[in-house]
Amino acid sequence: MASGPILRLKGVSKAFRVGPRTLGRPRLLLRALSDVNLEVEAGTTLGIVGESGCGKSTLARIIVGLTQPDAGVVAYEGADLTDLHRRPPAVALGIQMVFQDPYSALNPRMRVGDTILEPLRVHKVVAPQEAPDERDRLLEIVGLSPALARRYPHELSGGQRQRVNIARALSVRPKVIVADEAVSSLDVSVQGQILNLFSDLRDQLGLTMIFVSHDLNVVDHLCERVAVMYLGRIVEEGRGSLLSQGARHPYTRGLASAVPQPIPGRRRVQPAIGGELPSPTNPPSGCVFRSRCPDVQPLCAEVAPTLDPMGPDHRAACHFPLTLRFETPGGRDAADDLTVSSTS
Amino acid sequence: MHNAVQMDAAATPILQVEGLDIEYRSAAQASVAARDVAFSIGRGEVFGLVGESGSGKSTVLRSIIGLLHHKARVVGGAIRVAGQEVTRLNSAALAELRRRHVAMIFQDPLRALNPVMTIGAQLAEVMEAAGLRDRAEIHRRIVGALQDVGLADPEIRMRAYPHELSGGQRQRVAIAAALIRSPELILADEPTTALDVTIQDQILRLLYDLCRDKGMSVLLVTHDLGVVAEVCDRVGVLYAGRLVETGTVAQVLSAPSHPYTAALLASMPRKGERQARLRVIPGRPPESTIDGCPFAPRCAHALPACSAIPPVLAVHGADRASACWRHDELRERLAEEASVG
Repeated sequence: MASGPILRLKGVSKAFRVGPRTLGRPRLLLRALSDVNLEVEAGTTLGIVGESGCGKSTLARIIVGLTQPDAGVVAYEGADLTDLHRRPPAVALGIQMVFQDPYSALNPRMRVGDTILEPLRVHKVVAPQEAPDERDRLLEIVGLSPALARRYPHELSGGQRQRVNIARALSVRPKVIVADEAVSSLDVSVQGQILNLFSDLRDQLGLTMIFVSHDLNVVDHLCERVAVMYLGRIVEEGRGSLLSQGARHPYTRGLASAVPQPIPGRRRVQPAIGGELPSPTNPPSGCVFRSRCPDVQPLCAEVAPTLDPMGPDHRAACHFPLTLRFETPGGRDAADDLTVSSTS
Repeated sequence: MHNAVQMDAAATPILQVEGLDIEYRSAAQASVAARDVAFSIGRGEVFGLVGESGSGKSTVLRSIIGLLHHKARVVGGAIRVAGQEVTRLNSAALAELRRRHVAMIFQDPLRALNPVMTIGAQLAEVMEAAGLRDRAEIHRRIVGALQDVGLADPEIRMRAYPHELSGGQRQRVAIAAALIRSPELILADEPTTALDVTIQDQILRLLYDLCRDKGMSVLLVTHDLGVVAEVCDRVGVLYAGRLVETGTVAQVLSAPSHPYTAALLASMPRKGERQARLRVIPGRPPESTIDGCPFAPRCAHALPACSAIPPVLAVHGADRASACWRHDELRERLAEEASVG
């Protein structure tokens, strides 16, 4: 499927003005994204992970066109989508979004069938007389009975609602689906059903997917590629497997080992990462992760590391990247990797 | 004599729940929120109560200190805290119970804290309610409590309002408020669900260490079997208001004795397992009470009898119980199922 990047982000930055409006005093500048560069190959699934406030949702919204970046270029199949007001509608339809809360993303007063019919009609995806058949086909693709078309959102379960949202996103035949925490509000057993649906859709329709999530287990399961974000920057990018092994950035490894695993007898004494995310209105100098990094050196406060190649298809922004698996400077997570590799 | 009494108290579980039935009543109907729930928590033990939304786990936790929704009623069974039956206590006695023995940590620390009171004032209120009057002593203990929960600059933090703190810091304050009177039992309802994984990791470790140091018992309600594995000693799995199995964390997670637990473990995406399809539990939990085993309609191992007669939570082996007619014959298959993932 890989046929060059379908989506390319170059130097994308976004800042928001926050805090109280006080006369004569400038409001604080929150840098949500700083110089993000990213390429997504057609037909692949990219996971974007990080703590809340790392900018992952802002990035998703910029890709879909819900937020205008301050600087940088967003290119989709070669077309420049940066200027929201000049996005050619036909091109813009190619990128669709599935939101976190499946209930608030649906109109409570519209039958779910009409929710799916509306984009079919507005964008003339099919001839008007074929629209009901297309609606039923979409419902079946996402594993719902066409009989549910007459129901209202409140009559459906959380999993069914998310399936309706996915059907609506698919109605305009997009090539890229951006899912922002699309399974976070679902129970584990239902979450598995929706994750399998995403895998099936990717395989059957050849979709490119961008999966924004704070749940590393989910991303690790679903995504071939992963970008790890911290304070508005991509700090590491590579194969999805780097969440379980081969991470070069100390943040990636710490984040991954903070995820509780349902395996008894792995209790650690120390937290994986101490401290909290610094304020994005006042980020640390140099490397933004240095205030929480177990391997911090004086250089880290002075020079910001760039996202450098660490091997084939692998980039990390760290002056002192982790080296061999069992020779980490702290030695703290080596045992974690051992546990994981023996159970996988 | 005095010694014998003390030893007796130490041997009594801090919490005993027996045959607990809870119903939600509306004008039209009564629906079962918990049915025949039974478990106990020993002194210094961390017990996890795990289940999906609607399984009744929070309802069971809230029933212990009389914080049920006004439409919910305990209609049967017994709850004993430190040997004292609490289901029929009046509100004054319940208040005394909350003051002396039990503290609670909620999911959303912002809602659990008073937005118009400083952190210090709220912690002082807790101690004044417990009868402490000496201002200097109260101040000293607040600083100590905030230090215990890992808040830097406690003297400054005391003067902060909840909105000035991050989610993780607020949960640290809520934990400080819960622990400051050294209760014997902590009830924690999804205490880390609203937090990032890195902060969850810090808070779970903190809660675990503090309770271990002070010998407190914890009832931790969560939907996350990973959280259970990290901090709990024993665990009970709830499904549709019924406890389907209990046991030590090692037993339940590596060799589940109920098909629901096995299926839940198998449906979780795991670290290092890539691209394969997840095994899912078909369907969803029943919305109304059903006659037989509530899991039977979704169970891969159900027999016709399962839908007719509800299995009881039967003790088998030391400290292990399961509510499945077939747990004996399925033992090996379930362990295999859970580990395949």
